[in-house]
Amino acid sequence: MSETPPRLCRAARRLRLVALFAGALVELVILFAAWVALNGNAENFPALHIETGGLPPVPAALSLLLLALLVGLTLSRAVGLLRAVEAGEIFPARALRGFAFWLFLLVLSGVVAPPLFALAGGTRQLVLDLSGGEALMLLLTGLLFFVARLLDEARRLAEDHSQIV
Amino acid sequence: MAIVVRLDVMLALRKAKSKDLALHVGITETNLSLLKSGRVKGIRFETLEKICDYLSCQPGDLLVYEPDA
Repeated sequence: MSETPPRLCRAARRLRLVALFAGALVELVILFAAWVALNGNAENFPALHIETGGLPPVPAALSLLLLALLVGLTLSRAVGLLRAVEAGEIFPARALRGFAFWLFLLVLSGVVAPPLFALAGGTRQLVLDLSGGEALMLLLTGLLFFVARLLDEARRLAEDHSQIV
Repeated sequence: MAIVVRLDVMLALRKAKSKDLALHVGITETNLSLLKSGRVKGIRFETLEKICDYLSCQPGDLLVYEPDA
């Protein structure tokens, strides 16, 4: 393990705290939106716009709860990644791989989950809506995951190689 | 590990110095020390060949299989 420069340590710590705070805020907003969607009283909160894709209250709330879960898992991986940098690992390839995987799953669930919940809610037609932005996000996060996997494998090989004299 | 490195024994038998061996093989003294203590995952044939050449011995003199080790 190489020694992390103090500046990098401080930056990782700041970023970790920001990620924790922002993550908690996002989680609260999503959970609140799920509660509003479940009770069907969105008109009481004019500032809140919930895009449920025409889902009934229960599937819409479930869809939002899934989103909250995945956001939480992704952010916890990001926090773990930053904690590893703080602890002295300049390039934590394994943590990056975990973060990239959950990020990809988060973006994928945004595309796949709503039609599946609609199907479970009684709709007889499966409509998959994929916008250009979503396709690009899927491509980029998928690419990030594969690059992270490759780097993790390379790090493991380099570690093995360094122990052969 | 069941494979035990007997490099220190061979060095003592040949009255050779670690420093000179490291120089002949082309590895650092630190790596040679790791090899002597068995704290490596492997050894290249090239390294083994040079050690055998310097110490005039066989690979079997340097590496021993001890199941209980």
